[in-house]
Amino acid sequence: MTQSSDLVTLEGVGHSFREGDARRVVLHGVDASVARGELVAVLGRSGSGKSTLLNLVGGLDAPEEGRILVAGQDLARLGDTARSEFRRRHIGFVFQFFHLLPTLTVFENVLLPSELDSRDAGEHARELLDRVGMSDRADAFPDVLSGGEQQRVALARAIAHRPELLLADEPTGNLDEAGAAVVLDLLVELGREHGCTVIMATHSRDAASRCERVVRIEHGRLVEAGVTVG
Amino acid sequence: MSMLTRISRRTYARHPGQTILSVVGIALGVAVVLAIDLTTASAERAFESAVDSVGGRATHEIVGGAGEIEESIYARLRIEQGLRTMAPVVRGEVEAQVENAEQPAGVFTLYGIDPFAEAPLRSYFAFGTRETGSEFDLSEFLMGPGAFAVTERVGRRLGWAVGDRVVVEAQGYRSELELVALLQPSDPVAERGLDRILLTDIATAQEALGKVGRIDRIDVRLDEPARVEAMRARLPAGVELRPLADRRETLGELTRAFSLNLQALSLLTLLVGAFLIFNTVSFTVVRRRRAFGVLRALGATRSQVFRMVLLEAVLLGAVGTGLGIALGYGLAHGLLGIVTRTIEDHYFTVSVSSVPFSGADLAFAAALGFAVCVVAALAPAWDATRVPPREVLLQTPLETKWRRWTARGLVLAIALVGVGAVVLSTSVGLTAAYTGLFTILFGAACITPAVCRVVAGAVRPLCRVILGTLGVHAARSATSSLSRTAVATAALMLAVATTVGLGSMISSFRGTVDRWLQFTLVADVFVSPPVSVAERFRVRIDPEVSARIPEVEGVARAAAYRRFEVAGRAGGTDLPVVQCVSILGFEHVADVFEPVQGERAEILERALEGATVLVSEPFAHKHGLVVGDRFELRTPRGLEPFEIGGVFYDYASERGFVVVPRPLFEQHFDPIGISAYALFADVGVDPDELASRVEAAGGITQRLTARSSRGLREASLEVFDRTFQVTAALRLLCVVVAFLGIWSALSSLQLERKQEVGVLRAIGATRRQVVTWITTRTTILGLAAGLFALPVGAAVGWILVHVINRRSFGWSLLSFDVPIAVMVEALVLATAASLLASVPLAMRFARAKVPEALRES
Repeated sequence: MTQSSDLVTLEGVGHSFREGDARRVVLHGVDASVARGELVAVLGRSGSGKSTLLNLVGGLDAPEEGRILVAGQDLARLGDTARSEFRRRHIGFVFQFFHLLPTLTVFENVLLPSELDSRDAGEHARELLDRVGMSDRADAFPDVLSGGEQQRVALARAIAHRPELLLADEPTGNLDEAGAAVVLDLLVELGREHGCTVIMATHSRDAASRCERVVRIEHGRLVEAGVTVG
Repeated sequence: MSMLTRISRRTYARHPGQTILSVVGIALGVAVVLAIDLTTASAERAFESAVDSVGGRATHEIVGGAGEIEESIYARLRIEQGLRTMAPVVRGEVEAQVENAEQPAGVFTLYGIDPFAEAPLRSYFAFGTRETGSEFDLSEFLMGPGAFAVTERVGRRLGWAVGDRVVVEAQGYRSELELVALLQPSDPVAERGLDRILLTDIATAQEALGKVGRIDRIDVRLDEPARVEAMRARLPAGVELRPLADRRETLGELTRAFSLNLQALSLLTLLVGAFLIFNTVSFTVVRRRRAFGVLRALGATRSQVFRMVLLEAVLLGAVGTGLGIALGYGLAHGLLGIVTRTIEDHYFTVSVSSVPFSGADLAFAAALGFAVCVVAALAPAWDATRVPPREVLLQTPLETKWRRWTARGLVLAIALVGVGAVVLSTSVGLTAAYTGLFTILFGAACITPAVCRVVAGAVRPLCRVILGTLGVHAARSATSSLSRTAVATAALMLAVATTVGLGSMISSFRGTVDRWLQFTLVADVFVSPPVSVAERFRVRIDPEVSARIPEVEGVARAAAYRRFEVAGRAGGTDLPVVQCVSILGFEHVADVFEPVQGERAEILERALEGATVLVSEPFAHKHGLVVGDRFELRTPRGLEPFEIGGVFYDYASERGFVVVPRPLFEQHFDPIGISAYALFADVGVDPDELASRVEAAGGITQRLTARSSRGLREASLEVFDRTFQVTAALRLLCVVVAFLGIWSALSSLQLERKQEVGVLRAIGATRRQVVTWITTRTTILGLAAGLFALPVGAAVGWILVHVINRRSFGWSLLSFDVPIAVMVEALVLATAASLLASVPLAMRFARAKVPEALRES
């Protein structure tokens, strides 16, 4: 894998969705790059394509046009299994609705990504839970946690396997102000501690203000601080 | 269309797979019940219509003491007493084959009649021939020796034409007959009734059937009750006048237990189908709890929600029932061969070529399908009305509720099992026995969710060792959605328990029959003319041939069986037909009679002295008789009492029979011919060789069938296995319905859990890991169903053997076992069904687009 200064590179990326008989273009000719260790906020209205961009970068979906390189790897050219393996080694996800697995305890949820890769990361998982302030709830199931607590666990899960890239889709969108602040602090701190590149989709200006760089999606294109970068 | 109706329609339209599965489930349930009903009813109706067609306008029949009447009695009644509205009948089964044809045409009933006496009773003596279309008098045609007639329909079916010569064999006698007329009955029912009948005159039939000088019965038409009593008064001793309706009743009595058992087994399939409907409807309710909460918040009343859900169930039921009726009709044709073969093996010969379908059958199937759907939907519909709007955002409270219900289910299950056990132990009837069994099964179904929890908990450590946290996730999620999976798992458990129960019943039966055959078949060779089971008590060996048999080289000693049928009376009830046997050389075969209770030596001694008769266990059970009781048999001197000295095991006939020791027979009955022999070979003589020599003793006079005890044992077990073919078919259908149930439930569940698949894929799970997770989870459910089905199935088997079978047929089985093979089969079946149901779904979901899956909620 090449070690360039950019971790993520988007070249002429376009994507659309079918809506009935028509197609709605969400992204169009997007060129952009994100440097290693950078903390980037992606702003935009609901339905503007923020989540789609994150899904494409995370290899959950493949772009219809152009290509996306993550750590020099074009994910669309990988087979499904290789893409999954790449994801569980290099990418972490945080979702708006937490998406913790309800039948696993807090500890087990954090442990799972490493285990999927046949790695024993029990000790690291416990450290992370301690770091996000959830070690005393390690054996609890998600349904007894508050939204903020669930998102803290989700954050620990997302970085448990030491990913290079952390993708956070509206991580505070479902939390109250206090909870959102805690999660945001943790996201920024953990990203830095682990040397992660963080791309956070949000429509919160407060959240965006914590990032080093802010880009906006408008009419399918990325614009930065009012300047079109792609 | 109202908004609520639109919601319903779109809900089902969005998940066509689930909708189709539930419709197919109820369709299969209805189809199986209807098919069994139509099949057994068709066989019975065909037999009844044959009885009615040959009975014509007769209202009564005169029958003899030992099943036959001296021909002279008829002549005396007709000539000396001037009774004109009567006609003699000689009947018997024959196998017919056109001369030089390669294959026999089949088994028919040869009816010998007196054409001159028939006019007041039967109308089929004035139909036109196909050739001329003109009216003719059949009596002219039947006057010639060896002449016979069949309906045009039979002629067409077999390719027979007037002038064809047909060889018939009856009770080992071969004769050549000539087809002289093709009848065209105007009544289609009568035509169907004559489908397996060859009509000939009395003399020809007597000769062909070896009944010269004897007739089977005299059909009589008596329109006024006063004439009935008058005729009774004029009958000589030893013959009896009885209403023709008795014959039909006897028929109904014969197959009642058989039909009821088949119906009950088919209802079990419907019960599994009902669980499927309950599962589908409750699942749609559970899925839409949020929508119901919103509807309620917007002002929908409870009754509106209730009606909405119930209407959905009724529509599902309507489509499923409609499909089920069509399927059932088709299935009935498929089962017809198996069922009629079983009826012919055990009860009577019958010709069923079609499955008549009446409005009553349609109404029965429709009512059943609807009733099951509505009853199955009541609880979910009620549940839908109870959704509090505040619960709409969370799934957890429902699962919590389900966990509480699981605990309550245990209490309910114990109560139901207790009620079922009480019903079984305190009742006497077969319907009550099935009610008890079904109650216990329902109780077991209620306990299934708790069992799922226990099994999932028990295998969780193993899952952790093998699959790590993913395995723990699979084990926990197996029981985390019991509100969706419990009913389908219970249905699978019921179906598998049914297979275990039926498997253990068949095995216990087979073991018992095999053991019984070992101590029953004490002789080396058994010989009789070739006849069906129905004719066994009517057949006679030609006297000359009979005299030759004990003299055949290699025969050390012989026991001769005189079998006969007489009317009787037991416990205040008239018995139209009691099958009896009297054995010459009883002491040679005395070991065959293993008493159910009491000292054998003492019982046999009294019987040999001529003090008492012996009765088979089914006979005693059917008529509520015990040792020491008395019942009556019609002898040439009228009804005479006989005391029961012993009850012995017998599995050959569910009607049961009476052993009349030689002294009693000679004291009460006129001499009759020998029906069969049990022969003991000299030391060193091969039984198969002896059998060949004995068959040769029949010469050209009468064909004999001689079988070594080994051959007879094999033949008996072959009939046994054939008898349970229907059961096996029902067992399979039950499993198919359960498979659909588990498939439906799992696919519905997967729709719900699609988001989890998205999460797993997002955090790096490969497709194979997702498939492993889903299949492990469902296999745990299948394993739980399979494991629990073992004790439940064993209990079902025990009830079938010791309660249902006993009440149906009066047999007490000598052994009860649940074979290891049946248990392994059940476990494999349950887990394989779950696995098979989940693999395609798992593959589909593993391939699902992750962003779409993540958006599901």
